[in-house]
Amino acid sequence: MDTVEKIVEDFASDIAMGPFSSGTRLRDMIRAIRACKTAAEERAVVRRECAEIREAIGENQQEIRHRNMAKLMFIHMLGYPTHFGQMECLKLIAAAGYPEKRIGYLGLMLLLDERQEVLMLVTNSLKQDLNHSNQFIVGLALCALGNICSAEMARDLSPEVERLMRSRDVNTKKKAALCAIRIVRKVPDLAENFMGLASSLLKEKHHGILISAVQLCTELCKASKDALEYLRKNCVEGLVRILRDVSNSSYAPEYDVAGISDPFLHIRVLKLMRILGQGDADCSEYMNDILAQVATKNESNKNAANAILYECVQTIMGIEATSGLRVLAINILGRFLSNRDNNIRYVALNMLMRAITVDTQAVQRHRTTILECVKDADASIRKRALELVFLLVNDTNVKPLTKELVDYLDSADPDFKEDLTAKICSIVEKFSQEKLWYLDQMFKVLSLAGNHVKDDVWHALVVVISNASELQGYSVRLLYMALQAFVDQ
Amino acid sequence: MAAGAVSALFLLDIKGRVLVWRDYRGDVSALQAERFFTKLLDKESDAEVLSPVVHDDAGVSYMFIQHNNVFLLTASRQNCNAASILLFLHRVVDVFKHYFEELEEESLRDNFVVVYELLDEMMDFGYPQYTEAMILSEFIKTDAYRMEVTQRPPMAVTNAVSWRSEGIRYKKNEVFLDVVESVNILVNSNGQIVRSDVIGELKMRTFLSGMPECKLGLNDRVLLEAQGRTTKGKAIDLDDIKFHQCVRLARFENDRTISFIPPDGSFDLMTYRLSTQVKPLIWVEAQVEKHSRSRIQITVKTRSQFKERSTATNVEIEVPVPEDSTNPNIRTSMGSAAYAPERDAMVWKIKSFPGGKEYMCRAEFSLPSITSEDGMPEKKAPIRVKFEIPYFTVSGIQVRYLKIIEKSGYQALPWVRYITMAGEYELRLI
Repeated sequence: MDTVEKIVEDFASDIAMGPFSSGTRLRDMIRAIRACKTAAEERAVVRRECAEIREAIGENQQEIRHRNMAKLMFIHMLGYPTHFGQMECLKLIAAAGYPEKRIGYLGLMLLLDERQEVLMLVTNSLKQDLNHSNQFIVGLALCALGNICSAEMARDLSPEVERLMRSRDVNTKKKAALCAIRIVRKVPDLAENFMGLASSLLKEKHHGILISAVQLCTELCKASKDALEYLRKNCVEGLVRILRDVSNSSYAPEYDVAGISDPFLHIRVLKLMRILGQGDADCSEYMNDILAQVATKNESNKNAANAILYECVQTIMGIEATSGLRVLAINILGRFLSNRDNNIRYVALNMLMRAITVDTQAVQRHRTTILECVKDADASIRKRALELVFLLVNDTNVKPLTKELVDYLDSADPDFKEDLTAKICSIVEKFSQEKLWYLDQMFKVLSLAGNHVKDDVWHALVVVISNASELQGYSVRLLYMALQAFVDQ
Repeated sequence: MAAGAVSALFLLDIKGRVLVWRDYRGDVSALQAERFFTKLLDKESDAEVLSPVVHDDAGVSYMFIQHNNVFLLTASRQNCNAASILLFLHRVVDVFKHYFEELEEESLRDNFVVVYELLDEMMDFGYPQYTEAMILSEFIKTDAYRMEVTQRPPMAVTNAVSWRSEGIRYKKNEVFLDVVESVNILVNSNGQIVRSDVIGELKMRTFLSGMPECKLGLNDRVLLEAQGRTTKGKAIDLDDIKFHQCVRLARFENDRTISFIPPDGSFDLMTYRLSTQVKPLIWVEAQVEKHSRSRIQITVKTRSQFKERSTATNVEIEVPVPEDSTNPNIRTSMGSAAYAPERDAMVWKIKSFPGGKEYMCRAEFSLPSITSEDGMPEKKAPIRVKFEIPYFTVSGIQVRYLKIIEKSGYQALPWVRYITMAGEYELRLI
């Protein structure tokens, strides 16, 4: 008995150690590759391993097919050619068991993309799996289709995906919606098939389905004008209800982020609202109340809430909102300017620059805070704030603003002085109404940051002095005093 | 006058990106050099056309050479001797080849620690220092990874005889001289010889004490004529003779005497070239048939074209096969053949191949139904052959004598061997 067992064991060992038995496991292959000291050594190991895998494929060894596929996926990740394994993916996909299908679909997504001819062969397998009774296998097929769907596959399999979007199973419905996003992207003509289905999915309760459906609606709007119009008529009401429900919902641990209920769904809905409301006064009016509610309900001391507020402000600025709502949005940005987080201040400055064209007066109310940002420690924020101030200047406020900027010029960073000097000179030149003020400002700038002044600026100054006979004496005295001060330093 | 110093030395890849960088004086940055050199390469796509000495706007001079897929570049702000710097770069290449067999981007990546050590020793503060590979080997060990006690530089680096240390003692004094001739051949698909030459090397391994003087006599025609001897039929013509630096060139120029103090250990005393056309010593023909994109059949025939009294050993015939091959089925009339996937080839090995014989090999491979999507035209790699034929030289060179004279008067035994081997020996497929 012992002898027989030993013989069997030796025989098994011989088979495993044979040159073309492909006996190594994935972890052993990875260990061998990691042990290589040079690139040439690694190439040799990979080529030898590939030859063994090809041998096993040729011998049609089914029991180690999934192992070989796992090894091929690793080899593919290292950048080596693995095209010879593509047919093996198809065989695994066509196998009956879930483990084989799982590794087959994973290999399909990794080793192939939509350009391969082999992909045509897999369409039938996908079709069968989309009709499988096991929901997890259906999920595998939807996931694979969502990753590698080509235009031909989209046309062939679109009816199955439509049917699955009506499924009773939550996960299947969600995956079908995500898969539909890819289908619509590949074949925009199919958008009309999914409009109604997407619209009905917005009536669901499950957040996974909702966020997938909202994403699908967003894709539909990009794909088709007809879809955009359809969704404007049929979805705005649903979106408003979703946003109200999620905004008012009580504590739900699976969606909660720092006390905020599902900020991701908030943001997706707000983005879609912006697309639907843009250029459409009726939709915008319908959204007005919920946007105001979201804008006032969230506090600015949490990052998740700030993300929602940021998206809400973008939506308000992007649609045909009422002026009251716009002022509310700009005031939120004003609050952002006082936030300690550099990122929040930066995005606020960015959006205020775009808001100026919409409502200059509302932005002007935050001028003091914006000027504080010109003196910020962060260089990016300083630049943004300076650009914003440049846009805010008008005949009324040019003198106090210029005074602030010139006063800051003395203590500014050397790197920032150049930008600041250029902007000040530009403002003074553009808005000066009397020569005396112009000369005073220019002399100050030249004293504080003369090295940074561009040639054309002082050329223009010389021209002005030449043409203003009555101010030449005054100019000489000021320049003499500046020179005196410089010598004394 | 004092020669200017190099600011930095860069090793760059084929696109001009810095692989290894050694800064000697701190006044030229790697970014600066890389930007300049990349721009230069863009301007002139063919590096051969470029002058090896170029200047940029910032007052930096650059000197460079190319070796395989690597550029060696020096940058300097001082008034350098361009010729000596370029020669130094060539010496850097020689040293790297001594350590790594071949200098390529890949060998640099594999050995960058040793590369930095070598650059440290070969140049100090921008001035070239030791460039002798054998001397550098004495205190830069390729396998030394741990911290070591600082070693005193050997006396040789400061001696007039820079290639040999003093005070060497051997109980038994011996000299081994190997005459190795490499046959380089390229045959096109029509069976015509495109390129053929023989590179000869006299390799010595000396185990001699003290500072011995050596004299070597060959059957070189010019030498024999200079000595007034008859040149009946044993004299040969050698071209492009190059000597190790230990050989006294002045004496060789005068009377063709090869006189030298040998370095200790292994060194190449002399290389030469034969310019006459050489018949391929081992001939290989291969026929490749493809069946319906899924099967390939290769028939290889090989013939030894030298006299029957000589025998080629360790013959290896490497026949390229498609990179997706599988299911090898191989039969040979002599030796053994196997599929070597790491080389994308079938390797046929014949241990002993007597002269005037002919052998055959037949192989069949399966191919997968999916081809590579690169769409590249099928590359036809040539057949490569390796072999050694002991006691045989193509040129007929003979060592007539090797005398060793040392003050202490010991006797040294010289051992001479001859061998012919394959160099770049390739036959293109039909």
